[in-house]
Amino acid sequence: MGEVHVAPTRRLKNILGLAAILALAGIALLPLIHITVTVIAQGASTIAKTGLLEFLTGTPHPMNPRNPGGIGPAIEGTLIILALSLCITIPIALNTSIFIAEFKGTPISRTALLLSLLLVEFPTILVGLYIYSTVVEPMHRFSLLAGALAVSIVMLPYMVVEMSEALKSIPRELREAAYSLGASRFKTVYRILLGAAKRGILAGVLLGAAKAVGETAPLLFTLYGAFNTYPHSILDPGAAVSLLIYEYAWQPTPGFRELAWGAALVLMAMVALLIAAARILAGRRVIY
Amino acid sequence: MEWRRMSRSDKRFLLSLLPFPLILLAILLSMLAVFVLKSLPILEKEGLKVFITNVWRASETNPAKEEYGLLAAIWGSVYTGAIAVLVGALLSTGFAITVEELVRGKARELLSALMDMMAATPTIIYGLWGVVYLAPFLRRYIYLPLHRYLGWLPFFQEYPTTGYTIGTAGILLGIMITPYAAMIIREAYASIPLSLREAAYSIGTTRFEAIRLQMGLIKPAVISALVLGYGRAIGETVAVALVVGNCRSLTLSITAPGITVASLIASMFKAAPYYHYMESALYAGGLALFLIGLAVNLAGLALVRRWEEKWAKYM
Repeated sequence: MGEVHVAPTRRLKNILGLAAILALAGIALLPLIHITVTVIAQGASTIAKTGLLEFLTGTPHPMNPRNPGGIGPAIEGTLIILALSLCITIPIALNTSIFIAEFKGTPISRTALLLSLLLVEFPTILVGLYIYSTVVEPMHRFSLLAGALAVSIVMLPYMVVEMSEALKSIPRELREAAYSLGASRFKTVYRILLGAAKRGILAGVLLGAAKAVGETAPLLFTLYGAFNTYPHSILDPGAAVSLLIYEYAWQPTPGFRELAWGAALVLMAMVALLIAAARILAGRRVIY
Repeated sequence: MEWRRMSRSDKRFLLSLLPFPLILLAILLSMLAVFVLKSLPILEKEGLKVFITNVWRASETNPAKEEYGLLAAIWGSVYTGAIAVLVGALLSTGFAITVEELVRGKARELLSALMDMMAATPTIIYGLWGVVYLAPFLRRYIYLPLHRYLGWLPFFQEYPTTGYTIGTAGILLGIMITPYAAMIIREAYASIPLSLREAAYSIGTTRFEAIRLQMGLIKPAVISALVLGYGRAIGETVAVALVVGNCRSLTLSITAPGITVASLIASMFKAAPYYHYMESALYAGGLALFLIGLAVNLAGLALVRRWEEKWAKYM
């Protein structure tokens, strides 16, 4: 191919323009790489100081400079909140997305999808205030249950969007085959379509779980932050890994910061695992 | 599907599922109701003044003396969001073009995986990193020189006593929305038909000129990504609360500490029950955030929809 003559000013602009794009990409990447590396390095150094088992199950003693202890109660809190909120959201999200996919084109279906998309982007601190005034105040106590309810409201729309996407992508022929065999609509949806879409649906559950694990703002006024004691029931005040990072990041004492970095590594690992699993199940990049 | 043309069993099926989508509606409406009801006391006392003044006078003993104004917080949310969009726009377009256009193979996969992971990384981790690394770094290498040499500009007027400022919050938010915006821009960029791209090169454009042409084509997608990013930025709480400085200042200066609605709620709400009107004032802030967030996100979604419809014609 012959070299096309390009005016020198255009050539210069081309080089400068491409250089600017690459520079911006570099600036975009630097903080992300730095965050990843520091979370891993600082987190690992904290966990090495305490020992993995003690870090995951022990209680924090940030004033001890040689061994800041562990974040056991916070991890337990996160897991309890995750389990509770999955129990609350899975049935609702599943049936809502069935409605959206089955009756697509109807005003209710379109409104439901729009509402989910709106709620996905909703400021999560407002959800925390909402649960504070409707659950914490009437019950006169902060609790893991209140935290789980707040997290449920945050993760529900994510799951609905992802699951209805999965259900809509099922080929029409499958449904027609089921009808031709005389299956009722109910049976077709719950036996055939859900089975066919199960990977996408599970991916939606995992994405919702990743959201549940990472959220902090909805927990601020619902959990209270009992980082040092294991809860006895879901009506007790609790802690969560994300909340622990928030509360400890304010503290100037090095022990608190060390615990926060260790907790950040635990949190990042949990989220990365969930996202990776969702991506494998869905067989594509997932929009978060 | 029309109601009249449905079979009886279909109707029964629809009705039995109907409660579930209604839950979403009920959540949104009852949330709005709670915020309106809870902000009534302060609205009755001060009227709309609560949104347009900048005072914070608390009194444990005499409720009549209490006076609250959210202007600084509302301004802080709007301003940090704007800085975030500016930063995010530059970084995400630069990154999206680089990945789609300038790198291949393993490097491309690696960059893309890193971005995906950072899009999913909890915001509190960005916050922790912002407190420990970003704030001191910006103060030392950016704010101090800017204040020293360009201090006559209103943006850098204030001496950066600490790194916890409006600018730091805006930049951290910009870094946080970059992976998300880049994801949307990349998807749009990849969907440009090959024929358009070939047409550009066939008339002898340079690489950069071809990129500019293509970015022009997907401009609506870029704008909608940034609007949605703005919505995320003004709603973010914990990362901002950690780095914004939490000071009620009404300023253009990015080197001054500030506050946002979300971080005001986060830092004040636990103490609010000791006062008569403070809780209500914070709910009023929540109501403002509720309405701004709803408007921004509706606009963003409408832009996405319009762009998808327009684009469908080319496909």
